[in-house]
Amino acid sequence: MAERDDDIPETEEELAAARRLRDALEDPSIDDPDADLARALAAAYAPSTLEDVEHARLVDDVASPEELASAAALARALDAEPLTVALRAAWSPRPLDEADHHALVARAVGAAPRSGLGSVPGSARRARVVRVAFGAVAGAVALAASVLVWVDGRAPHEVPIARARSTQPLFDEPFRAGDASARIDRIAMARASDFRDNRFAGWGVR
Amino acid sequence: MKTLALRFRLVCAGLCAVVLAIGLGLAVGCSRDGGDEPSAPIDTALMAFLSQARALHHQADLEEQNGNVEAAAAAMEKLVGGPRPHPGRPAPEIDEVVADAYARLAELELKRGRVEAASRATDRGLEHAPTATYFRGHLVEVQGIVAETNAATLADAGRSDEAAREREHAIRLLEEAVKIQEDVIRRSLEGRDAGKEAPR
Repeated sequence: MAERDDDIPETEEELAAARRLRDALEDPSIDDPDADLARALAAAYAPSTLEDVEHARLVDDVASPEELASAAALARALDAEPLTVALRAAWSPRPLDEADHHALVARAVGAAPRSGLGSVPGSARRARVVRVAFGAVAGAVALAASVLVWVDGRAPHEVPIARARSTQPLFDEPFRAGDASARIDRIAMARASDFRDNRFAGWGVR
Repeated sequence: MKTLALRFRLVCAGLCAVVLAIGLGLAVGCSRDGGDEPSAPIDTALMAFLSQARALHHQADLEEQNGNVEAAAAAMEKLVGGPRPHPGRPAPEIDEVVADAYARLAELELKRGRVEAASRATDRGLEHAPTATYFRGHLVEVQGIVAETNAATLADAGRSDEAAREREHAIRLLEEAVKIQEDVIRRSLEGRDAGKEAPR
């Protein structure tokens, strides 16, 4: 931003504008925007006493009761005019009240005539039913999944371990008398192998 | 009124959904598991039981070699009467070891001349071998031998009619034992062809 240079001489236009402002400040009857601002600031900072003539003129400007009544009637008439309502809504829309809102929604979705439960309460009830239905279905699915996980039990990464089972496959012929110790030897050794595997699986080695 | 009916329908629908969800979860889960309770794992407790059984069998061997049949029978009594791991859970090894111990106990009781005790041992052993296995076949075989021994005892006592009936009974038991063993051998061969656990 360039700094002001006091050495530069004023132009003719600037000098003319300065004269106009000075004249306007000295003569209140002169209409000048810059002077009006200066006058307003001066009146706010140090208000002066109104002259009698000025005071009388201001009092004359106050509306009479008849004028106020006429203005109110005109406002009501304008409020009822669709064009006025449309212009006002376009320029400065205000929030709809609750009843108007529900009436518009009901008319838009056509719920009220079909439900027979009244326009606004019917649509609200239907919305609640839909929410409850979705919630019930989602809850049922979640419950089924949790039951499935609970029943399934084993974690997917869990290594299967050897479990108790018949020792029948360890023998390929009927038992003979006197071989009972040999049978328990075979069973114990076979299951010892399974037991070692289970221990290693538990340690995460296998 | 309509509001109440609507709420009632909602509550009913919710309850039905919960029941269906639980049923569905259980059905799918059980179908994956086969619906059976998993058998006990082969763990320290099971191995301790098998170790104890093995020790008692070898102890009975030594007692028999010493001619002490009573002590050998006592070892088997200790095995079948001792605590067993995983009560309430399927553990076929335990039942089969106990069934085999009852069979040996019956044979030892026979050696001691206690036919009734031998018969009781086989009966109890069969409770632990309800399906057709070598264990059940062996127990029925021992049952037949017990009946055969009893028939001989009755014949020695001059009770020929009772002895004849007991011999018939022994024959039926031994035939049943043969039938069980044949069935087990056949299934064993089929299972081996299908790649199941082979004898070691």
